[in-house]
Amino acid sequence: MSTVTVRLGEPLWRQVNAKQILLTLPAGASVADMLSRLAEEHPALAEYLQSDELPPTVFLAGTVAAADTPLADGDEPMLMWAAAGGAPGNMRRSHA
Amino acid sequence: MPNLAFVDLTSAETRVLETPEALTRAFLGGRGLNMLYLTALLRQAGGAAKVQPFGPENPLIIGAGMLTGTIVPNAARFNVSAKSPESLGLGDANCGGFFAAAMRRAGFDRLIIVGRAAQRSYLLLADGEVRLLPADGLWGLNSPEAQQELKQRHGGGTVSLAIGPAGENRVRMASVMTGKKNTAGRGGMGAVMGAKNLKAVAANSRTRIPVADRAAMRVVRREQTAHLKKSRVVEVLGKLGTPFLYQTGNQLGAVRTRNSQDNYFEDSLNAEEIEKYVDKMLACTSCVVACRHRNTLGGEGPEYSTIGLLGANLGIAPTDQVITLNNLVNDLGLDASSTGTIIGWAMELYQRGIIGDDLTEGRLDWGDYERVHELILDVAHRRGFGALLAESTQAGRLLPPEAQDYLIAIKDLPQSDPHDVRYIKSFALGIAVASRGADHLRNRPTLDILRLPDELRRKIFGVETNPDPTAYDGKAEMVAWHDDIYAVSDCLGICRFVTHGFNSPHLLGYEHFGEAVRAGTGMDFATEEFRAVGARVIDLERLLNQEFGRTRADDTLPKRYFDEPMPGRVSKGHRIERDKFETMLDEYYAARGWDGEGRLSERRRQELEMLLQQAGDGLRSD
Repeated sequence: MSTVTVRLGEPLWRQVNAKQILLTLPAGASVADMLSRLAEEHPALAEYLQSDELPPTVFLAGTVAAADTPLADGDEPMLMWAAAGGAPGNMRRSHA
Repeated sequence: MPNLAFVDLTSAETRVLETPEALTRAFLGGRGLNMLYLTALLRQAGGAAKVQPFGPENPLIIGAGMLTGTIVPNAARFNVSAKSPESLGLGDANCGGFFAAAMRRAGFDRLIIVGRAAQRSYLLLADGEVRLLPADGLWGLNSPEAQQELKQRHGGGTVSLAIGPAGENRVRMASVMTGKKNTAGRGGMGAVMGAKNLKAVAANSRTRIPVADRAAMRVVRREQTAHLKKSRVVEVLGKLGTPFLYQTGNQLGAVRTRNSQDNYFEDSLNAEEIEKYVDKMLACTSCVVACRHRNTLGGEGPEYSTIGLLGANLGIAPTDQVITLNNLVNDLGLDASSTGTIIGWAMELYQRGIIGDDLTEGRLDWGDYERVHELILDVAHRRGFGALLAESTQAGRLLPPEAQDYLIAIKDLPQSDPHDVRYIKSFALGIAVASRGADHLRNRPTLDILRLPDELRRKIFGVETNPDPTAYDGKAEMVAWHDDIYAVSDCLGICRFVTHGFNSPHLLGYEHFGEAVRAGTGMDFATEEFRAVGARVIDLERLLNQEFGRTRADDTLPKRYFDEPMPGRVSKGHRIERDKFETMLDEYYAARGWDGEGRLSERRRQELEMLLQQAGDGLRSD
């Protein structure tokens, strides 16, 4: 098992009124697994995480993580919306 | 129906004319018809390159979109166009608010203003008539003050656009304002008004705007509003406005910071901090989004562009200071994008010793809020060092040659938005080819960042495109597609925030536009016909740019974007490779049907010449 602290950026944190969420995932879980778990545990986020309008961007250790990027214990991925002024989305294929 | 006022300020005469249906069919309204009349009139005045932007011969055109003022969602927009005193090229600024609807209620879809008034004046539009009145008591006022005074004079229902001191003083980045914040900002249109001795245009009429089928229009309103309300982007824009874009851009490392020497800045400019100073969200005519903040420091805004360019780009972090600067440029009638870019440029020149205290009349350090506040006032009033910066990009002629290496501008227009485009290559191509200069609202392919599924991208763009936003290939068609739909929404008067392709693939597209135009005018336009209008507008702007002397060499980027890798965060190391950029430009020209130098086909040129001839002939008084 690994525990990650998911940090929520704009506008995701507003859906759960929290800036971070602690998640326990199976060892070897990927970013896509993390998003699925988040959506399950926090239905208010699901619509945003699985939207085909503005997919989330996951920043991890100074990079934009891919859907299949593995997560390690203690990781602190940060989720934000991809947006015109911002960063490219990376989760599209995992939810298509 | 006569809907076009041709106003000669020199002779104080107005002719009210009809826009020929063939021209409306070809360009719809708004930006498209403005560009047509601008091109025709610059030719009549001796040629685009020769016309002096502050001369009486420079036409100033204020044109509402075809649907502006109706109940179609977000149909509030109008364009202000002229030869730009800032870029010395194509000047065109788009604006929301309530003025254009009022102008249409007064009986005018478009004002073409030539000449120069003998005394400081303003125009009053009411019930199909235009009056030229003295601006006694208005000149010298800030824009919101002048608008308030016009309400006092002509009644509470009066809606105006007005320049502030910056426009009066012919500051080359002066805007035209309506309300406290709605801004026709780009290219110095406010300075053109000032040069004409024209402080304001006020409209007061209760006449209904003509609509072909009001029942059908109500259905369009209801259905399109319901469609838009399903969008999460619309929802978030209505809660947070554009500042929500800052945090993601900053995390990526794509926020222009200290004149693009850095690419990320403080969290104090996040939407969460901005909203502490917001007490209400406001909307324009018929808007269903309501993205405009009323702030608790006495103004409206700021937008993401403003917090980026008056905040990060100048090294100013405190939220209240950035909002205060936002309010200041709006009151003075200055374009926030150009103002932030030009002051940031000066700060780097000072940092590098290219200019010194003798010129700047004191230190010019990053983050020095007091100095920036004072300097903005000096720019608007053309005082001291501010008088040099009031020249905007044209100040380069008065500075050491190496100063040009640090100017973040294209075609002599400072970059409009705070996004550092070295990471997302299609954004770079977009601002390089944008007709009015470095501007994201002409064609930003925002869908490129969504990594949409292949099938959906194929359906939208009609060709194969590359889903990797850092790739150079497979981007040209995408930019061209955005060129067209944004041009059409500008012609219709519809806000970018509800236009398909801007931040979302689920907003209003050509089919929605077709329903709205049918209800509004009785005219039918199929999707391909709309796209043809968009392409025609882009080609006309290309033709006009060529008449200004622009060539392929002008479709480029600031030197720094080619030569210097981005310094930090996710985008670290990215820059634009010149040879790949040139290939992307070749592909873009091919997508537009232009030759390798970016010139129109002979067939297209002939088509445009016929339309220009008709437009020009219709304006002649003899």
